[in-house]
Amino acid sequence: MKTHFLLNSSPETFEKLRCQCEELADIWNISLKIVCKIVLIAEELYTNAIKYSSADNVEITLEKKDAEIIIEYKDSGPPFNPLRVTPPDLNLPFEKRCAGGLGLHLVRHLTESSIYSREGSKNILRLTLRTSKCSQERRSGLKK
Amino acid sequence: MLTGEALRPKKITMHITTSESNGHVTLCITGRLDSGTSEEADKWIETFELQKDTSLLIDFSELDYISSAGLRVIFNFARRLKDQGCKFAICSAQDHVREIFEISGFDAFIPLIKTPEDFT
Repeated sequence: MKTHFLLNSSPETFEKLRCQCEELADIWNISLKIVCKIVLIAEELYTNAIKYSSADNVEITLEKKDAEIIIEYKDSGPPFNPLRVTPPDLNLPFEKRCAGGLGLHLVRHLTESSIYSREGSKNILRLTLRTSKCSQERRSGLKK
Repeated sequence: MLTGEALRPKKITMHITTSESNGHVTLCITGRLDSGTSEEADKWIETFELQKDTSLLIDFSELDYISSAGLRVIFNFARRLKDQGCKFAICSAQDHVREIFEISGFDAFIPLIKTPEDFT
């Protein structure tokens, strides 16, 4: 079961993805909480590409395989591995924290696995998300 | 308890209302706080004036979705409230919104309380 989206800099293209993802809850029999996570991951990757890269368009393919959702993200921007971005230091006191830099951090923590590759002129990210409850261990290990 | 209905798409994408009772102001953010609504939320919050010595409760019970763009709005608002010496907290966040807050480490500097009654 695969669903494919082609997005460009127009926000309407993302809105379409969001609405169709909400319909997937019934089609794939997944919770709306999981749908929220899928939309969040897509939003963070999409806004990141539109804001910071010269990519004209972004492709997002969603696939349900057993208890996993596989999110494949592609953009045509210059080589950029989002998994290598330095994560924000969550232990800093409030006065020293920055407002931004959380998008890719959320993507990393909401997914079970993430692989980056550069294929031809495209950045490709393959992410998996469990449809069962997000493991507590990953979250509790965050602040160490 | 989270129900499917709370997450269903709604016509209103983001809406903020305020009310005053028991000596504090309650600000209720409804809908979605994301890249599509963050600018509007920022503008609303910029014009929001809080009187000195008033505490503020931010009610998240009807906030269905938050992304990093929404977190940025809340972060900047929290910084302003702290600078003003204003006491504030967020109440009634849905589980998945609370999870995003915790992953971002925001719970370290923004008190998350379960119900409005816990705000003392």
